[in-house]
Amino acid sequence: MADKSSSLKHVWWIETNNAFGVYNPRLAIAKTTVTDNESSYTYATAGETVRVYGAVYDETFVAADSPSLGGGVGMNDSPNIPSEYQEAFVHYAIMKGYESKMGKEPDAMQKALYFKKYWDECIRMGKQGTNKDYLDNASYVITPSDAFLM
Amino acid sequence: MTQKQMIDMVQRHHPELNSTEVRIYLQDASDKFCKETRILQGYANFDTVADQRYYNLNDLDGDDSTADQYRFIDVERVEFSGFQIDRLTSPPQKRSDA
Repeated sequence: MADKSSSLKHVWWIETNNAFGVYNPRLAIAKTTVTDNESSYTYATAGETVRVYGAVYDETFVAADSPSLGGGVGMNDSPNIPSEYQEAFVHYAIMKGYESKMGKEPDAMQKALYFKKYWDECIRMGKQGTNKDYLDNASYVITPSDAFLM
Repeated sequence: MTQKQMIDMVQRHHPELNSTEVRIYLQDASDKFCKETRILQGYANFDTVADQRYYNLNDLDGDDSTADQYRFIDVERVEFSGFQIDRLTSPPQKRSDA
């Protein structure tokens, strides 16, 4: 296992371009060597564990009743997003259903817009929830770190 | 709410849609919702390989299966051997294809 000073010489970045024009984001990891005039980037030390954190998509919906852990959201499973937002998926699917009937049913557009309103509202609530979760009831104090600022 | 309950609710409005068609809409909704709200946060581990710089973000362990890890929307931070490492805002000037 690499020690702290060796680990901290590594850097990462994301590249999304490739030779075939297919969207394929790649994580690049490199070791930095700084000399007097420039930084050079070599391969990362092999055999070290890297942990990547970020926003992720929910699991995929599958037709199986209850697939094994990590096998997707089965028919008897619920998505991983908080339960209060799961109704959004239903609003969206109903909306898309009515969109596909535009031109065939006279009031399809109004119905689609009706459910789009609920979908948009759920998105708004979801964004709000992401920003405020775990902070509302937390007790925290911002302490000035520089005496000059006090 | 289970997937079955969701499909039932949609089919009450659209009885002509079968469960496969509804599932496509639900998946579309799930992806859009997660991307818009960034509500789910996760992580994935992998081990670095000798002489390799790039790792497919949706198949970090390189086993040609994208089903055994989260699909990332964005990357917020990276730890190398337990230590948080810096992000370069742009790739280095000298390119490496490995």
